[in-house]
Amino acid sequence: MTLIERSPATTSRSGPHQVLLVVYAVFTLSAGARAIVQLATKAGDAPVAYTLSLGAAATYALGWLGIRRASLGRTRLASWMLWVELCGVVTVGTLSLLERDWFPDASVWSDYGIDYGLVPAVLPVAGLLWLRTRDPARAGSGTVVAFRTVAVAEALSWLGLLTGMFFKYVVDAGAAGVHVFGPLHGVVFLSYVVIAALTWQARRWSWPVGLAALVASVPPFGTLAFEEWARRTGRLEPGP
Amino acid sequence: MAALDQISWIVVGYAVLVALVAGLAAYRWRERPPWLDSMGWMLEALLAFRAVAGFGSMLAGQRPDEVSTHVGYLLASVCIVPLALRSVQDDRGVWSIGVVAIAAVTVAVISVRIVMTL
Repeated sequence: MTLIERSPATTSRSGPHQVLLVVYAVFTLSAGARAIVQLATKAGDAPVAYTLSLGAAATYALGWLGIRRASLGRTRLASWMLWVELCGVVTVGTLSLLERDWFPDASVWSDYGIDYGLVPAVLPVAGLLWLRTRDPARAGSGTVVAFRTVAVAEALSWLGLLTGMFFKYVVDAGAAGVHVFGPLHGVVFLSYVVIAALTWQARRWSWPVGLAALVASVPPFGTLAFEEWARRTGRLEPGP
Repeated sequence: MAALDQISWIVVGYAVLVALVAGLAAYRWRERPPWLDSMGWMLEALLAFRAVAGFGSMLAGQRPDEVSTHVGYLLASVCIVPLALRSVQDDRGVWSIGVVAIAAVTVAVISVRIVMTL
């Protein structure tokens, strides 16, 4: 890889933060433009949703600034903003599913950002994972911890979804569970795939092991089985 | 309008191709090949053509369904690729390929939205 030194005033060295910065810039612009146009032309239709979209845009702008600063060594703003963003997506996403009346029109974070391919839900997780790599004391163990967490979360979201399906189809007691756990399972599934790919690279798994990790996300509780097997066979040892 | 839609779909297809080739380049060479930049500028030429055609048809009196959104998308579509390429001008590392790929995916999505707001 060729790395060409640039003046410190422009930006830091090459790295994953470059991709994060582009995505944050795109989301700042798209969420901001969307919210401003909606508030300017039809603010009365869904004031809560449009204001939340504007808030999301502000969060993305501050997230962009935070990641830029973190790439230069100052991680404080990023570590705050990424958590604020994650809490925002989870709160607004859950409220939009439970309180449909509050959202006559969608906000950026409605249904955990399904209008944007669930990227809004995965983005803060990816940012926080990257931030961990900036801390030398935690480097190396981050991906393993993240993988084990997301493997359990994937299984739990399956449990929620199956429970919701039981109440919807077997007991015929309404679809509220499926409405909440459907998108939530989608978010956790996507996060699992991203983190499994990162762990595959970080732990230098062979192709069959890496593919098994990805395939494990398809059947219910497959990720738990894979995590248990990988841990017992020493494929999830923390280390550099 | 059909001709404008066709150009937009060609843009979508070419942008997806750029993103896929970028993924392949990241996997294969771990360094951004110069021809990926050329593909980016080709994409930019298509986007500029689409924007000129879009503004031309509006000047000729054809109103899209959502004028302000449509104009916003046309303007944004031509800005993204040059900004992305400019931001990684001196850096040919593997992550700079990701920047180009994200820009390509973004203009693909914008082009789909352009068709939807027409």
